[in-house]
Amino acid sequence: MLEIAGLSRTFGGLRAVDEVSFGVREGEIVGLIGPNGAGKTTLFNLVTGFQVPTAGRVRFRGADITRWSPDRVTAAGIARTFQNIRLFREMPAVENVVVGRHIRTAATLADAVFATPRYRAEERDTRARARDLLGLVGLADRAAVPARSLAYGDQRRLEIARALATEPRLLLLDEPAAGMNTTETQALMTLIRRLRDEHGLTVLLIEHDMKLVMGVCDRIVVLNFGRKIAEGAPDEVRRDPGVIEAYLGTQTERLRDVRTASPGAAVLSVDNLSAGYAAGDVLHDVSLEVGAGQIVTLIGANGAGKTTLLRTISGLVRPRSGTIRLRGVTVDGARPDRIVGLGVAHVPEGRQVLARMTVLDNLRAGAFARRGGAVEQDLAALLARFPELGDRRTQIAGTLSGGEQQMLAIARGLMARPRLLMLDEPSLGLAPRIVERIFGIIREVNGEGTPILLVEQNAQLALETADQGYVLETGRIVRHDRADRLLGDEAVRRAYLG
Amino acid sequence: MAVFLQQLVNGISLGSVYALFALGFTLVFGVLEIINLAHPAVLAVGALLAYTLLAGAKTGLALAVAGACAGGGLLGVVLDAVAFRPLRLRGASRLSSLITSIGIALILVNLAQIVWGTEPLSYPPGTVPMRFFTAGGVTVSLLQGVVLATVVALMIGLRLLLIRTRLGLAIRAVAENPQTASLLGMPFDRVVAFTFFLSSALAGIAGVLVGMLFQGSVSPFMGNTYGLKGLAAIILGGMGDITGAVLGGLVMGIGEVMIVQYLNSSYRDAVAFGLLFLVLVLRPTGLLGQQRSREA
Amino acid sequence: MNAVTDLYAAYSTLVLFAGVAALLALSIYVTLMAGQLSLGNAALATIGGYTAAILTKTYHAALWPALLAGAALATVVAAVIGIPCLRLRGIYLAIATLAFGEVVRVAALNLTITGGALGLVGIAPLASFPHVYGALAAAAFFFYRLERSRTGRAFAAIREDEAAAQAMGIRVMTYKVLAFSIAGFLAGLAGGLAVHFTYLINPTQASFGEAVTILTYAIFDGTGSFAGPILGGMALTVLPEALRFLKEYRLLLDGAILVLVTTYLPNGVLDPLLRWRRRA
Repeated sequence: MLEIAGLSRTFGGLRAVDEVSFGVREGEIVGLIGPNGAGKTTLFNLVTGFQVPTAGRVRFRGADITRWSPDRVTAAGIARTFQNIRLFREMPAVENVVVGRHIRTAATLADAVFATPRYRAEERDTRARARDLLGLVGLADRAAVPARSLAYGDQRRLEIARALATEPRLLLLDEPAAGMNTTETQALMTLIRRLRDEHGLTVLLIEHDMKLVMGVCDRIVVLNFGRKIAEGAPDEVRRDPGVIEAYLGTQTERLRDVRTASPGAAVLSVDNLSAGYAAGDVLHDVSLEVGAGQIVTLIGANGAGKTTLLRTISGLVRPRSGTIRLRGVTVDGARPDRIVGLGVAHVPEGRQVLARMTVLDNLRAGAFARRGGAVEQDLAALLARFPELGDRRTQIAGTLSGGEQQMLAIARGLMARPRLLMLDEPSLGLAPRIVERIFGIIREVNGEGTPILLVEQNAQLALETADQGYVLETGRIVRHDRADRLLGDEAVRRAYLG
Repeated sequence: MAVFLQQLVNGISLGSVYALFALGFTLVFGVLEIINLAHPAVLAVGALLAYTLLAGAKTGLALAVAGACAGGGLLGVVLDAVAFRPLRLRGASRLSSLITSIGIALILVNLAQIVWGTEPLSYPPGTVPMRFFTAGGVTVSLLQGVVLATVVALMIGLRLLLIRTRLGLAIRAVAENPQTASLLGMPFDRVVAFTFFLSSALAGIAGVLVGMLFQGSVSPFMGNTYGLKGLAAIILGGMGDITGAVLGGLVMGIGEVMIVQYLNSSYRDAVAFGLLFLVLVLRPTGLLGQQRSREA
Repeated sequence: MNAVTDLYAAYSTLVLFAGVAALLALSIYVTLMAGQLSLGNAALATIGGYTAAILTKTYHAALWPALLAGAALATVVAAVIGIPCLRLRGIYLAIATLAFGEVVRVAALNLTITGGALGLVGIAPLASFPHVYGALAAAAFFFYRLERSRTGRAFAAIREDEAAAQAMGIRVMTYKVLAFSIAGFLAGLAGGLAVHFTYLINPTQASFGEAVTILTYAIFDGTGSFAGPILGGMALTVLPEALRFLKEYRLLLDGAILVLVTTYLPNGVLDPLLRWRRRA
């Protein structure tokens, strides 16, 4: 039914999707998985016309739909949901679904103004179908509730109902289970199967929740760095070494000293923390501790809540309950600049260098919160320590390579002479050699006495580097142990691959 | 040729004032991504404050300019606290901020009318030095020279502030990526307040300069044309770009003078806005601007 | 009954102005329904006004054909302007329409056919209560049906989230141009009507100030339905007259309304525009 051939999309130097080819047969449920940043949503955008491919073709039921606009793609019979939920928030639930009927109805403005029979019949039919679809996804009793007031899981289901209203043959679901608890996920799995069995739909879905993927999909396609690295039945894929490596990382050759630095006074204490965004909590009752001189790593699948935890500690997200203490000082609910003033440096996901400013300016910005002199000395020292940055000190940060940007972000964090350094996915999108260098730097910095909280998707590398490890799964800590003991732990593999 | 050069001088002089005004506009846009349409009203208030100082308190020109600068700056901070910050806290759209700024402009103009009346007022004779220098058929007045020198000094000062000081670094960082700036410990609201101060202080000074350039005549309504032309200047040069604002201002000034000289003067405004419309439609980021992306 | 007719005679122009203001408010409202802010409606009204005036004055046309011709021309201009503006969002669109308005004002100021700075005078007093309020009633009915139609829902979807609307199969560009065209028609009609009971028209009517005034009408009430702009237009035309002593503070009143409504009463019309933050 759907055929993707050699599809590519390049942004500047980055190959977001790299010559991907696969097909989806009628009546199949196919899962599209891969680590963060693998290009899955971009692939959806390419298929549905939200982005134009730089190479390759997309065929749907025989027709070449490669450069079609989104509305045309929908008319042809492909419907989608969005990773970030794009409902019409002010409209009641039923109205959202009614809008979905637009493409299959034809009443014109003139029909409406003069209340012609066609108009009236269509309105009746549209409303009836909308109600039916709401019933199908279990939202019949919330038809009049504005979309923005619905619970997170309900919103996801509403998006599905709305997509179904367009009478698609192929349904593209982008992380439909994100933020759902186990019960809701089960219900979703049942719904997806029903859609295929009773309504004849073909489904292609992106998901990080492995229970769902392994449980509902006939076939799985795995992407990493924009390329397809595996394809096959769930069990095959789960055992494929390439897939395991993509998610968990490789075993490095070196045998390292087992790190058992004794904790010392806690630099960071997080107790029973629950936090999240308007749509709902992402973290549930999380407790975590970083002791003086330690490297503590927080690992888990994408969407587990790792970044949210760091952002809550930094003050960008307000906690709903629980406490956060920095060397004894309570900081939950404090503003970011106060927390920075207490010595926390947060190197965010995706580097986030100040792209249009120079390397020097970026580094100086890192020292902003510091009182007292010696900034220039530190600056000189860091530039000497990171020769790549020293060579490019007046270059615009946005033009640096990924690895150089990561170095810059870390150096910028160090400029604050932090009491605690938090790193969010430093290995993301970087080639293995560069990753090794970055992790070497991380070990060095820790060797000088700075405690580090390291969030990583690359579990192998993170556990080899850290003293202690915490495993986060859908917002809860499911394992906590010495890092070396977690290395061979089955629970870790399950947390990622189900 | 002499005529061309003369008009070029006139154009640069006018354009430099547009540039100064556009700078204030673009500062606020760079940091908040909102267009503050109350900016022209602040220009008028600055010019009128200077009038009161010159004619009422009989102070010298320097003090009048300082007064307009300080008064304008303060006004900007108040506006941010009273009107823009509540909208930010509520997570309101930028369009709401635009509409609010229009409302504030109306309020300010009306208040200015009440205080200073609706008739144009003139700066006291002698405020505006009337000396001229002629060379090669081109006449430059002392006033034009003073205006240009002031504008250049202010621009250099602003550039130094932005590039060399800690505060300037904070402004640039917040404009670039507010979330990351927060992570680096930069206090967002205070940075914004200071930006408003700076932007409005520049408007105040621009007001006095404009008042002087046009035979010392000021009124509460003088900001209106500057509003639209300042907007055109920053769109031409690229919103949020400092150099672009200056360039845009100069282009507007020179262009306007040249059109009056060589084409039908009454179509002057139409050509300016027609150009603005085309730029928006064809190249919304302006001649120098870049696509801004603020991914979290 | 005599008191009422006396009152009416004294205030007839005001009442007619209120009706026209309501029409103008509706013209901006329709573009807001589709998530766009157009500040060029005063200019479109002026185009409609000048056209109708020229037709009745110079060519002795009857009222309704002249009005419809003016409205038609304004519609075409609006559509033509709307097309290149399609890709512009929010502020940029507002400024582009503003620029357009200025171009119209200057053109009116300079063309001989429009009488230059003095405009046209001595236009026949052909419009009266039934014309203005008849048009308004028809417009109100139209909006009532629009809000319950597939087209109206498409506008609302575009306003909330253009990308999602496209994913629903809605041809966003087509609907945006449609909104602009309807706005043009209403504004042009309003302009034509006004000209025929004020007996004159001049270029200041296409100015930025006028455009802003129309904006205040549309957001004043914020009930989220078409009744809001109608009420707003009427109230804001009548109130200043009723509160004569506030004449000096007219601008302040307008400004305060804009600020207060935007900051503290963001319901209805403005609220969906707040979805900006989440848009791509």
